[in-house]
Amino acid sequence: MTHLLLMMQRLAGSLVAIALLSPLVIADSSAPKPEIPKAAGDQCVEDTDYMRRNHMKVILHQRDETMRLGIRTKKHSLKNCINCHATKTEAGKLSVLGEKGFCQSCHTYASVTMDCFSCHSSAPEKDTDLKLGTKRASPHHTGLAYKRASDLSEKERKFLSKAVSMNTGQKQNSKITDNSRSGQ
Amino acid sequence: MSIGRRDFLKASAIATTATAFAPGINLIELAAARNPEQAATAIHRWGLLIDVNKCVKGCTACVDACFIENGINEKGSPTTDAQWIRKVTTKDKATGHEQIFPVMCQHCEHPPCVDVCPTGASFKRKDGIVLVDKHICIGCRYCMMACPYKARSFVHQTLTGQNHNAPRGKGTVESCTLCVHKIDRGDGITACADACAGENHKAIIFGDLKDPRSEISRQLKAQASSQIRADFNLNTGVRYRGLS
Repeated sequence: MTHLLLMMQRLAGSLVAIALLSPLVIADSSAPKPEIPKAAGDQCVEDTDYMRRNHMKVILHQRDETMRLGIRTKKHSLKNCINCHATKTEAGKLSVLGEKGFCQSCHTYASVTMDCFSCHSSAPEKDTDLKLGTKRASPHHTGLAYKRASDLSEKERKFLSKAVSMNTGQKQNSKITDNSRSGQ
Repeated sequence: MSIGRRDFLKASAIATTATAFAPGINLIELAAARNPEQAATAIHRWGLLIDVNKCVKGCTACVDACFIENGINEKGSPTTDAQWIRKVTTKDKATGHEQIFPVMCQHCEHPPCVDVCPTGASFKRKDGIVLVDKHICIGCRYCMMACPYKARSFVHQTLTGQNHNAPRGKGTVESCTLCVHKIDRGDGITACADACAGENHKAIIFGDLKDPRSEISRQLKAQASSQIRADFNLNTGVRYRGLS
């Protein structure tokens, strides 16, 4: 009887082992792995294995600390990730996005949507020295965003102030010209 | 040989005295240059003092600087385009006297936007800055309705090319952050105040309302100032001088 139990135990053990190994075997043989570009630095802030599993935990933790408490340490900040991991896209811009970009290549492979970059810049900080007057595909990109107000020409000033030239609002005893939107 | 309790107390008292009276060092200044690892504390309360009589008609330096600093570039839809700061003109109909001044988030001590937020996205930082945590903002816009100053905007379109220091995105509400990234960096000035000083108008002073030695506190002590709709008892962090 004990013999039979032992055999069953062994059988179960090997089944578990096969079940654990099989996805690895399949992954190795058939599905192509994503091409993840090398980072600019030599060493990530944490071990690669740790970061593969936990990068979102790390970023989320930092996110709340920065947002709520104003703690802005560099180590686990999204900016720091991007500064190191951005590579040149086909359009010639530095980014972590793009088909072969550090973030997007793996997220596409894993079929996990990320929405960090609908708000956050995907370019490293160094890339902010954008030249004024360069034509951009996006209407939101005027290139003016990186110039000091005192350096603006009259034309640029007019262009920027167009957005705030709405007149609304009346009070009983006084007239108020308020540039705020009338309603949303 | 171990140091006795009495000796220890004596030594630490001397050390404390030395720190307090060391030339050129004071504790508040040390706290202002905050270490990136340190959280913002209630030692400070950041605010603005706007001198209405110094604000110049037709000048939009503060508005432009804010838009530039925070990467606000939307154009062509004046009813919905983001507006963190705007110039307001009031006119007394009886006398014809006009006043022009910028209005932005007033960074209230008791912010109505925080009261009404259903998710906790609207919040006040320890140092008095009222912010939107866009990560958890659901875009319901209750805060926009609650704000008596019309200070908040809703992002209607998909945005690209945001500034690094001012993440902004579709479906969230936003407003003046008092250039929180600049404060945390220790710049000690907001973009609007900087631009106003750059134009030599000096109508906007930024500073710590809790530090009696700060320029803003001294100015507030020296001359009368007011809050917009002080009757709401919101205790705004943005004060106005010469507003009638």
